[in-house]
Formats: sequence, structure tokens, C-alpha cells
Amino acid sequence: MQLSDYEIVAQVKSGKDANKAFRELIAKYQERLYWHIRRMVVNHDDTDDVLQNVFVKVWKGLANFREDSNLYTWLYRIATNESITFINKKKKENNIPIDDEPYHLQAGEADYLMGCDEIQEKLERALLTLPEKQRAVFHMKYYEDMKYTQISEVVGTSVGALKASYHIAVKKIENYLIEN
Amino acid sequence: MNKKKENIEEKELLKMAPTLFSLERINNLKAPEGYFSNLADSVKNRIENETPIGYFDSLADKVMDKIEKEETKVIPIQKRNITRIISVAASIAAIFIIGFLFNENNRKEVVASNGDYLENLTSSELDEAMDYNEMDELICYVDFGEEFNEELYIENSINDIDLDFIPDEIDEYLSSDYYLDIEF
Repeated sequence: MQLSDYEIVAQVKSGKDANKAFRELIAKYQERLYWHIRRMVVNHDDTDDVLQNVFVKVWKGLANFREDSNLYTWLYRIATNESITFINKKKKENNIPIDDEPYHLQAGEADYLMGCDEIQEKLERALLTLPEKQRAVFHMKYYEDMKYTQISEVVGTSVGALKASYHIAVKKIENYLIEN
Repeated sequence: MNKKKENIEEKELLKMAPTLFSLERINNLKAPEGYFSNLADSVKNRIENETPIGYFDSLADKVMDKIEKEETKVIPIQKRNITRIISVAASIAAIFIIGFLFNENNRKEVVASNGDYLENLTSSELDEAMDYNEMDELICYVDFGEEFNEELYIENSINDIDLDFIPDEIDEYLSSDYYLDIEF
């Protein structure tokens, strides 16, 4: 039987079967977090690196995790911050201005789009034109079907600003799909 | 209530982006095969190989402490060594200079006052000098300055031999066996 988020946190904090509980946490969230990170970082190896860092941080921080926020949104927040930090670091290393073009243009996208049909590839290419943070918001809303309040907790932006950001992203994608 | 909200959002999406709305919301992207089955182990390895918590917080202090210790150990010794080397070199140089000047002064003094040297000696100094030098050597030295003339010294020695032997002394000498030991 799968443990609830509350039970996982309680077990890790108590130290009893902490490793087992943490493994369960990884199994429960790895895929969702992987795709959340990969939508921003694009490259698989980079995604793997960031994702492992995320879980290491979760392991270290779980003892101090305050249950006033949701484990789910806390994990997404760490993943988002780690991804953005990673992208900014890479941009800096490659002398790309942080607010300039998306990082994936340097990371390569051939592997990323492998396995997509024509329409899906178009959609993914449209998504790649968005800035990383906007892409993350679109992913959480469109694919993960998260509520604006939850996304707001993850990215630390007001619900109003998030709605505006999402609508802009949707318009951009729609235009791309029509033009291409 | 939530369903109503969702419907509103869906209607908004349909209105804003009909093409996007018509697409299936499926993630067709692929992760490498077997990736998720090994992730927990990879994370565990990474956690085990991680540097201890707070390691980097205290690293700078540790390094600074080490540098300070090294400085107190090494730098004064180096400075002390340099000071020692300089003082030894200065001492050696001073000894050479003083030695050179002293010899130079003595030499000049001897050369300058060579002729007057014995004249200026007091009687006690003369007696002392006699103890160290044979009189003939001294005379030769005085006559010819610094250069000791060995030939003249021998000639003077021969001349000084007393040849006024008493005949009895000659007979005694010849009758003795002493001359038999002389090899020619």
C-alpha cells in the first residue's frame, strides 16, 4: 500500500524506516518532477543531474519541512528553483545573457523531440520558444492541471500575474501552431 | 464549484487557442528506458557521496586557520634565515675588509719605516727581537731590507769562523776518530 505524503514525511522525520519512506517518495514523484525539469532544461543528462540534486536537497531539508505547505508544491518549488539556477549557470558559462534566448538552443533538442508525432513535435517546438519560467508555468497548468494557487506557491508569484503569464503563453503557442 | 471553475478555464482556452484546445494533452516525450527504475539508487549514491552538511560553511574558516598556522610557522623562519644569512655575510665581509686594511697598513708601515725600524726600537724591544732572530739574519735583514740574501749570509758565516787554532788542538782533532766518520 502506498504511503500518503503525510506518512512519508512523518517516517523520514522519525528516522524509523526513513530510507524506505524516502525511496517511496522518489518513486511517487520522480516522473512528474522529471518532466517538470526536462521541460525547462530539455537535455536528459542535465535533467538527471538537476533531478538528483533536487532529491538530495529534499532529503536534507525534509527534517525541517514545515507541514503548513503541501509536500507536492514544496517538491515542485525546489525543482523549479534548481532548474532555473542550473539554466542561469549554464547561460553564464556560455556567455548568454540570462534574460536572452532559451538555454535549450545550446543544449540541443533532437533527443528531446524523438518519439513525438508531427503535431506533438509542433507543440513541443512552440513550447521551446517560451522563456523557461513561462514554459514551467504552462507545463504545470496545461499538462499537470495544477491550480493557480498551487502554481503560485511553487513559483512565488501572485495568482493574477500567473494567469496573465499563462494566457500570454497560450497565445504564443496558438500563433506558432497556426503559422507553422 | 471546482468543476465549474475548470469549465470556465476550458472555455477560456477554447476561446483563446482553439488549435491548442483541440490537441490531446498527452506527454509524448520519452525518457531513456529503465531510467526511473534506477533513479532511487543513483540518488542514494549521491547522498552517500555528498560532502557532510555544513562542510563548505566551515571550509573557508578551516583554510584560513591553516594558512595562519603555516604563516606563523614558516614566514618568520624564512625571515630569520634571511637575516642570519645577511648578518653572516656582513660579518665575513667586515672581517675581510678589516683584515685587508690591517695588512695594508702594516705593509705600508714596514715598507715606509724599514730603515728606521731598528733605530726606533727601544732596548727591551731589541732584546725581545734578539730572542726570535739570529743576529746574522737580523744584520742581513737590516742591510738588505726585506730580501734575505742567503749567499751573503753563508759568506759572512765562513768569514766569521775563527781559524786561529792552537797546534795542540789540531793534533788532538786529527788523533781522534771523529774525522773517520766523515764521508767524502
